[in-house]
Amino acid sequence: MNFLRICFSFKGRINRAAWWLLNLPIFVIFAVSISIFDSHTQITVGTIPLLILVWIHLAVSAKRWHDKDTPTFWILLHFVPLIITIFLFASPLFAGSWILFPLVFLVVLINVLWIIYELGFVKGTEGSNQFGPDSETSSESVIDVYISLCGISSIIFVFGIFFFVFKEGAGFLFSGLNIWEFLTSEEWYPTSLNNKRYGTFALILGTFSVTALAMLIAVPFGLGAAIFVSEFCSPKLRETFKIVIEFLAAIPSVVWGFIGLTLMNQMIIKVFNAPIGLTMLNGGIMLALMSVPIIVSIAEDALKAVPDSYREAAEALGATRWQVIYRVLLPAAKNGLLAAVLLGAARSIGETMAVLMATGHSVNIPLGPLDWIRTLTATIAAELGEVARGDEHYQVLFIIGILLFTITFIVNLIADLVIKGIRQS
Amino acid sequence: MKKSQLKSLGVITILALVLYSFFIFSGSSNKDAGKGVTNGDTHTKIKNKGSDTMVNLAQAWAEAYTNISDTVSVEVSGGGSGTGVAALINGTVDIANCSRQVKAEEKQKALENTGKEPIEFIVGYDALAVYVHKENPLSNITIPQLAEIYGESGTITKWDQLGIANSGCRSDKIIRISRQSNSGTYFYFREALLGKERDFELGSLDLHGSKDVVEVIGRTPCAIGYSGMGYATDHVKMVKVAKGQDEPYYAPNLENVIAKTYPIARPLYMYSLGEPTGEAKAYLDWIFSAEGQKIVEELGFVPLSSN
Amino acid sequence: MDSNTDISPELMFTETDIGRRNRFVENVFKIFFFIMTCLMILPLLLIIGYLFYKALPVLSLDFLFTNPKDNMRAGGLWAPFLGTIYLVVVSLLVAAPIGVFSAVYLNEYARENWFTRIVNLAVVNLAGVPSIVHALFGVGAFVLFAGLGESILAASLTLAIMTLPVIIASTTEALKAVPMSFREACWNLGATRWQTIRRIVLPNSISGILTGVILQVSRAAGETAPIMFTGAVFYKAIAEGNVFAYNITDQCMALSLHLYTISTQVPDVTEGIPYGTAIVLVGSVLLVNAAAIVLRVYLRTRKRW
Repeated sequence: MNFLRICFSFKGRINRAAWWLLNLPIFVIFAVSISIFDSHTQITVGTIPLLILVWIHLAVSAKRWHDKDTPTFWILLHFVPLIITIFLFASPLFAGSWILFPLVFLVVLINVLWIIYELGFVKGTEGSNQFGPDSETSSESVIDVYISLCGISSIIFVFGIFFFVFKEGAGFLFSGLNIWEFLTSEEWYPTSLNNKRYGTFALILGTFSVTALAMLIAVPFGLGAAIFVSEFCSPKLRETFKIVIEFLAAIPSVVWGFIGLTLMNQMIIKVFNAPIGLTMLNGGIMLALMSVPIIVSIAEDALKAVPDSYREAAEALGATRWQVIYRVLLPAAKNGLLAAVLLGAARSIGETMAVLMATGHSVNIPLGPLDWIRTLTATIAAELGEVARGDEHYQVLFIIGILLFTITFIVNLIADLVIKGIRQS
Repeated sequence: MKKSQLKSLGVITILALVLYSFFIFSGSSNKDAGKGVTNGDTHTKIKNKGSDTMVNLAQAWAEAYTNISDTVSVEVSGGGSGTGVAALINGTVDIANCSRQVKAEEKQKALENTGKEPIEFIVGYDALAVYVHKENPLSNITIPQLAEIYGESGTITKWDQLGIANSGCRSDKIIRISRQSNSGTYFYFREALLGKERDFELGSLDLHGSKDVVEVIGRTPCAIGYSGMGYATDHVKMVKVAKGQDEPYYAPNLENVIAKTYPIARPLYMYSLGEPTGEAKAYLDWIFSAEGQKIVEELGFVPLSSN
Repeated sequence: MDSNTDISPELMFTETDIGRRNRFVENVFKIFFFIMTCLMILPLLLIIGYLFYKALPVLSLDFLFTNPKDNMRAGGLWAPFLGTIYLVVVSLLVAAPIGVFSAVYLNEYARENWFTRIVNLAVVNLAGVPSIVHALFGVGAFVLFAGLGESILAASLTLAIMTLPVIIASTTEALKAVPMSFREACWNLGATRWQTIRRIVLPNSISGILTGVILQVSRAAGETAPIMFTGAVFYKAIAEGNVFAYNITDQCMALSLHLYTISTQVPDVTEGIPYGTAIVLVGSVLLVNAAAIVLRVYLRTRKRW
């Protein structure tokens, strides 16, 4: 029996597992929607899918009744709670008599529990009955569909993200926004009273400069650590280092931002005698610390992926360990290392809280590491909270979101192709 | 009874309990969310949302109010004046906080959408103080000077142009600290300085919180910034402000704000949808009481009257 | 030429100059890389030490179980702490089944073809989407389109989608580690694909799956940007000690956002409190991570193949 027939047809039989598998999500969705829809006025949008769910529930339950050799009309039982509830609230007979409420509630509860017991726990008739053959394996196809749905969920989510971010920003993107100015002007005046200007050049530059600085710090350290961990380390020490690196990766970005705001701010003022410590350098160091774990773990994987025979061949020729690394391993693993750097950069570009708190958050063309900057991500985080929905400014923030999505998508795509390239060669 | 039957009975009991508790949970939440404020229920929620400037104040009121009434809890969230107004229009709050006045067209929208008109209450005043580092010798400044410091293509970029020798600041360059460009504070300060025609010069540090501004100035001898006068710390100094070249300078303090002589002060508003009733009315009444107004003063804002 | 015989046995096994130099160079590099690794680890220790030192005056059990008070200048972390737990648990309930089944699909159902590659690419990209873009998505899809409003539910769903790749990645790895021969043996006995997965593959990879789930928890607990606009709130008073104080359609406080607000917006906070908040946040995240590591090591020793 295929999935659609299980969901929508009132003919045939199914077993308990399939009934549960299809009904549990329905119950959850209903429970959640009841608590939400009541409070707002979204009922019109939500009702159609809910009606479909009701249909599925009835169709599935009908087949379950069949399984127990009971006729289809037993699904009328499912309407009893609804009818009683409507009566309770609509009929003048009941109005105000709250004494009746617990009684009616009890009746509804017993009805619901009995249905759940009969359909969810009592086995169907053995062998075939008047509605069809035995139904023992009918739940498999339901599970298969669920698993496939989960499998493609990532695609759905990626498209969903793009769609919804795009949807909110599209209106202004296609009518009114000067895209050339958006990308090349440095004038970010979204709230000007007489001359609103949406130029993100300074923000783009800010994002890329702080990322570049972070990579300048993180790449040598990350690659160095990866080489040490994969080539020089004893297995025990390697485990320890990997755990520490995992810990480093786990520290939340808002904590990095907090460190940048307090500790690093003061350190930069002292060490560089700078007027203010919230600078590109501060953000760059924070981002470096955040992206280094990614670089280490991916670079280490890449180094490990180089076959041992390469190392052995080089060592047999009398090469020292350093020569092996420099002449053999690094060239052999260069794609993987490149991917590591790219993914580390993607992480830096997408980081929000740390740069919001540590870089000074100023629309400014940076000339050196001690200048303050503002990034694309931080702009959204700082301004989305107070912007009126549907406003041009609101839409521009979503367009920045599209821009960010596109940038990281491309970087990730390149990294993925680079990694795939290694696997195929 | 067979063992398997016992087991399924157990499962049913648990399920029943879960369903039952869910029913009750969602049932109670429905009532709260739907009507916002309900009477006679054991637990009433007042949703309060809006201005980030006022969020501290709103939160302090909410916290103090838990001592007044056990049955009412006030849910406070910030997000900015715009968020509060939007929520008012959608009818999803009971009281909206606003550091600017709600525009007539917004009131109209709220009326169309919810059938109720937002009712305005002034609950206190906020004075924006101009802050500098505590070692900065600057003690007086005029609005036109501030306009030249902050305004687009402004002419004042160095401290000595203000006639002072800021020895803590080697470069002598003024570092402008500002707020993110859509905060109510930014709007108000810009209007107070530049009117509606001119914008701020880019390149200021647009920090995200009133406290952040003061903390950064406290560490930066070159900096100048603005923030609510309640945010002052030991590391910063508040500068006296004059309307113009020949006008007297006034310090940001209670007397000057209440006397309306300090030039950068604004009223703080709360809006309710329709005439407030029930618990919301009780809450607003309490805010206007001496106790509520004392909290205004404690938080560094200015109460409605000096006593 | 019988030069070979000229070298005495002692000489044969002593180091030549070039060998010595090589060994020296190698040691130099080894120490150099070691220092580099340490320089990466040092900040971690320094930062945790610094936070802990600064937080020491406020740290106590009470700190965790009392609400913020005096306008968030004093008091503890109960409301934000419970809020974070709610967000994490709800997001876990959504992300764990989807993530695990998604990995099962990729590893057990899908064949190597273009479609699988696209799915894999989608997973990689989902992991790479900036957190603030997830926030925008959450606002557009859950808060506005689905009409959930700003609520724990909307915030958790946003977090769930954001952390999905973590679960998918570690579950895929765990499933790959189950030898093919196990599955083949099972198929040969006539078991269906799902029966094989349920009886053989999942029980044998449960450790990896759990690790992924735990890492998801740690990731979700620390995120700020995605919940800022979808459900986390500046302040909300809840009953102390009541773990059911929030309702999933309410907004809630969260540790990460709380740290942000008290360090940038609330004036005159008691000195230690932001540090205490940071250490509680870091501490709980690292504890969860440590649990994942312990579990991984423990289950690795019990592996049956």
